[in-house]
Amino acid sequence: MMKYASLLIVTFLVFALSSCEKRPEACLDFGDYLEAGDNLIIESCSKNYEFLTWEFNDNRGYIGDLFERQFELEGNYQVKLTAYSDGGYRSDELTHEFRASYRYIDRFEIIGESDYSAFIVDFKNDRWSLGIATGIFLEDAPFVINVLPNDTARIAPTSVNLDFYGRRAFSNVPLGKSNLNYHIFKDNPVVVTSEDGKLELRMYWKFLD
Amino acid sequence: MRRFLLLTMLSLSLNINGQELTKVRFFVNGGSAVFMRLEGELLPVSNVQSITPGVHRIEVWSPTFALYKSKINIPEKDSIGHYIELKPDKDYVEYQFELDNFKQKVFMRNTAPLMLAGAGILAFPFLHVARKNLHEDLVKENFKSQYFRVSSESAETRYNSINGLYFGSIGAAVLGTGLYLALRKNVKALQKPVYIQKNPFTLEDFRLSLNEINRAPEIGLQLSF
Repeated sequence: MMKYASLLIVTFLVFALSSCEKRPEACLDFGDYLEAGDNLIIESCSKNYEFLTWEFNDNRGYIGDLFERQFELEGNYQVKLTAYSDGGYRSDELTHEFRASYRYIDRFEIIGESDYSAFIVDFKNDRWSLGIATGIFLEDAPFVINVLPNDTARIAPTSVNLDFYGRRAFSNVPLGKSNLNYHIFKDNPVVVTSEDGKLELRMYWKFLD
Repeated sequence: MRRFLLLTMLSLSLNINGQELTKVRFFVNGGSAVFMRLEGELLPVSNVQSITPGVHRIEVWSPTFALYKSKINIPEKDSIGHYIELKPDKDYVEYQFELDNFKQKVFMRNTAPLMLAGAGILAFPFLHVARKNLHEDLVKENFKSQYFRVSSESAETRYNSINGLYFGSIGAAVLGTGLYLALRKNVKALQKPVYIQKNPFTLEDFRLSLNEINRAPEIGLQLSF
């Protein structure tokens, strides 16, 4: 009697222990903004899961460790991430709200020693210039050309030229240029250094609420 | 002298031929061991016997068969054949019924519950894994049906089927084990029927037993003094 009872108990314990797996934990850490207009691959920081489901409030769903999509329209979105255990019996979910927005140029900052009367910045088809640019501009007191909020310039996720000039007398002197693919390049700010190394242009961007 | 010897040998040979024993080949429809008694005397164990012509009292017996008593008329021939059909012993027929009944009870109260429990326990781990995988498929299919216009009916049917088998295996294991444990004493109390028959010629008892080596039934002798 005892032999059979213990055999049953052992069998039960083996299966009970084998099904003792950690609870899945759903986790997202991409912040409050995602870039609109770009093809995004977003991964989660979830743990102890077998598979994930992603549900967006624009009626799109994905199954997988990551999702790949593009937000064509700017706006507020909501994603529900559900992490399932092996077999899908247990799950943990979280809802995350974020805004899909294009990147917009916020301002340009120039640091270094300048004897130019003005600085001119070309970004794609937009141009900004600002005078009284002679002097020494430091990290904590740079020469600033504000773009927002008066002007809105999108950074498209493609290759774009950024040119930086100094005005002397009646001519524009090229100081530096860059050609970056903004689909890949996500650093903020974008830095361009003049060829003589005396000046540094920093382009700051931001998402818009 | 030579003539005398020839005459003596001739007369002797005529005397021997004058006994005229008939070779009788018996065909007995009985067991493998057949005992025969002619005029109250036990014959050697063989199906060919040399018997003097005339009417004789014959008794034939084979284990598990009833004693056959009859008269046999042996003609004056070189050899004849004689067919004897033994009838099964009534006690043996009854014993066979009882044995069948016993085996049936042992099967229903011991073997069947154990088989049920064993099948349930063996199937459980496989069904556990299959059920887990099919539940995962069901969750995914349900999700896809919301967003990708895919029907989850097939996944639901598969999951319901495996669910039935899964809980069936648990039920079988529990029920089989429970029945086995509950009926254990009852099975122990069952007594296997024994068939003992007395050899009417030698007065020895014999009982049916099972050869432990080849698992075939055999006749074991139990001598009684």
